[in-house]
Amino acid sequence: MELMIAIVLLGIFATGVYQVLLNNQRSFAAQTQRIDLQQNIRAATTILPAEFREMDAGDSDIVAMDSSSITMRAMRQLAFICDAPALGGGAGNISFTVRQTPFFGNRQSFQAGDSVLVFYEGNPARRSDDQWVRGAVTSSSNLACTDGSAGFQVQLQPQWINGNVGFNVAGAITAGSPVRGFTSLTYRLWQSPSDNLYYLAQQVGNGTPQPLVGPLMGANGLGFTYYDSTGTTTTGDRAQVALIGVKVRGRTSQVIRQANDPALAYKYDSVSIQVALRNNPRCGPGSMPFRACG
Amino acid sequence: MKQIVQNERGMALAVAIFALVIVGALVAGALFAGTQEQRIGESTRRLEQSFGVAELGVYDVVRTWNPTTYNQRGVYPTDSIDLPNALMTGRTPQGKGSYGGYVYRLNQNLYLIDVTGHDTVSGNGSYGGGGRARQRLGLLASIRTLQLDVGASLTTAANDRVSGNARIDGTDHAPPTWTGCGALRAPLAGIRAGTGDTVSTSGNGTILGIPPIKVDPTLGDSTFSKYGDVTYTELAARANITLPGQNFSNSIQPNVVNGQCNVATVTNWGDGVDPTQPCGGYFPIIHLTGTSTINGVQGQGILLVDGDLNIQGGFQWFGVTIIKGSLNTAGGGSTDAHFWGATMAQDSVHLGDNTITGHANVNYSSCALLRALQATGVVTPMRSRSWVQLF
Repeated sequence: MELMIAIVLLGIFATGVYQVLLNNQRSFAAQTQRIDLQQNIRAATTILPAEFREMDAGDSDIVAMDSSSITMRAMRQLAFICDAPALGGGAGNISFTVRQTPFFGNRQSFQAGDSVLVFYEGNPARRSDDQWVRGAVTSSSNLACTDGSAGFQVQLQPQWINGNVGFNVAGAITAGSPVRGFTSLTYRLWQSPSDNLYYLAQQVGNGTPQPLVGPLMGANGLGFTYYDSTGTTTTGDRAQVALIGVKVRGRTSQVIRQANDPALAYKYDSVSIQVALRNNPRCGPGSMPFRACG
Repeated sequence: MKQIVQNERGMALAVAIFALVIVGALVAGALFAGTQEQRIGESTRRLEQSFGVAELGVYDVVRTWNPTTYNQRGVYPTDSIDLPNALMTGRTPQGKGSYGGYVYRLNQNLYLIDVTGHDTVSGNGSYGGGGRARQRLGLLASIRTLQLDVGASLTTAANDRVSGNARIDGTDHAPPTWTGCGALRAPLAGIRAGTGDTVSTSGNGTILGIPPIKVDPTLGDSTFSKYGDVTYTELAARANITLPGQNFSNSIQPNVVNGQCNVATVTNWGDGVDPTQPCGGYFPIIHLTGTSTINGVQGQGILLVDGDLNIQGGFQWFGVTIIKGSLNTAGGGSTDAHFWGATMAQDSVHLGDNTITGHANVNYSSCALLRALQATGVVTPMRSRSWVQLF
C-alpha cells in the first residue's frame, strides 16, 4: 500500500516537474526564435541603408529596380590620386598613381578587373562640369608617388563620358582627385531551392545568390518602393530615384507557442525604413529637380 | 516489535535538485539570451545615434568653414587640420553626442572631411555594455568659387581712356614670381565694354587681347553685382577687412610678426610678390566702402571698392578687383603698377571714364584669378558622390 502511494505521489510530482520543464523549454525556444527574428530584420536595416546611401541614381548607379529587387553599383573603396594621368591623348588606357594611405574599403588595393570611378575636375572654377569617369582597372602594381609616399600605379581603361574622347582633356583629372571602387550587385527576394523558404539575398554580378536575412514571410517578404525628390513614387525612371523605402517581413524558422494562443505557429515581424540617397547630383546635369551650379 | 527504519534514503530530493538545475539552466539561458538581445538592441540604437552625430559633424565643418583657417593649409600629406577646433565645439547642440576627426586638403580645390561621431554615453566610455559605439563618415568637398563673368582683362560699363604707357592685356599671364600655375589658357579680350561705351587710346597706351576690344551687349548690372548665386553685397559681407574710403598711400603691404603672417593688421593684404613668404598664402577679401587712393605696395585676394579706385604709384595687385565706380591709374614711379587676374569697373557710382594712364598694366592672369577664388571660397559638397562611409 505504501509503495502504491509513493508511486502515485511520484507520478504526480514527476508530471508537475515535466510540465514545468516543458513550459520552460517552450518559453526558451520561443524567446530564442523571437530574438533571431528581431536580429534578422535588424540586419536588413543595417545592410541595405549602408549600401543605398552612397548611390548616385543620377549617374546610373541603379541598374535595375522593381518591387522585390534592386541591381546597383555598391561602393567598396576610396583612394586618392597622387600623380595625375597625362590626358589629352585619345581613347586609350591612362595611367595614374594612387596613395596607399589614406585608402578606405574592404580591400585596400586595386587589382585587374576592378571597376572604378575617377573624379573628373575639368575646369576647377566650374562645378557644372564635374563628373566621374568610369573605367576598368587593367593592372595595378606598387609604385611610389613623386612626393615619396607609398602608392599603387593603376592602368585604367576609361569609358570617357558619353563615349566622347573630347573629354580626354589635358589637366582635367588632377592630383588629389578621389577614386571610388565599386562592385555591381543585386539585392532581391530569393526562394531557396533547398528549403523553399524566402530570403533577402545578395547576388554579386551573375554569381549565386547568397541569403543574408531570413527566412522571410513569403513571396511578399521584401518590398522596395522608390520615390523621386518630390516624394512621388516612381517606377520607371531610375535616374529620378531620391529615396528608397524598404519593408522586410520576417518569420521565425520554427513554429512557437504564442502568448495568447496555445497552438503552435510561426511568429512574424516586420520593419519599414526609408533611405535617402546621399550622392545624387546637387546641381547641374542629373540634379533633381534641375538646379544650376551657382 | 516495531521496526524502525534506520536508513530512509529516497529520490525526492535528488529529483527536486535535478529539476531545479534544469529549470535554473533554462531560466539562466533565457535570461542570458534576453540580456544579449537587449544589449544588441541598445548597441544598434547607439550606433544609429552615432551615425547621426557623425553626419551632423561633417556638415558642421562645412557650415562653419573659414577660408583663412582651412584654405591656406598645406596639401596632404604635408598637413591636416584637427577637429574640433576654434570654429566648432565638436558637440551636438543638445549635448547628445560628440565628434572629432580631420580635414585633409587634397589639392587646391578638394578636401576630405573625415569625422568620427559618438553618442554621448559611448563617447564618455561609461556605457557598461563594453565598447564604444562610433561611426566614421567622410565628405568630399570642393571650393565653391565665385562664378565671375570674366571675359576680358578689364571689364567695364563706361567709357575708357587708355593713354601714357598704360597697357591692358587679355593674354594669359602667370605672375613672374609664382610657381605651379600650369599651362596658360586661351587669351581673352583686352577690354570688354558695353554697347555704346567708347574706348580710346592715346600716347603709348596699348590694348592687347583677342579681340583687343570686345563690345558685349549682354554686359549689364548683374555682370558686376551677381556672381552665380552670390551678390556683391553678400560677398562684401564675407570680407576679412572692411575699411572706409581713404588715401592708403604706401601702407598696403605684408606684415609678419615672429615669422607668422599677422592677419590682424588691416593694411596687410597678403604677399603676392613673394608667395614663399609667410603672407604668401593669405588671400583676404577686402571691402573699401568709399573712394580710395593707393600708391603701394602690394596685396592679393578679392578687392571690392564701393567708390572709385585711384592707383597713383607702383601698387601690385594679384586676384580679383571689382570696382563699383571708376578705375583711375596714374604715375607708377620706378615700378609699374600691375593688376594680375581680372579687373571689373562698373562706374555705377560716379559717371565718369575709366582712365588708365601712366605706367599701369592690367593683365589677365587665370592663375592669379583661380588662386584668389580658391583661397577665399567656402566649400560645398562635391557636385555628386561626395558622401562616403569610411571604414
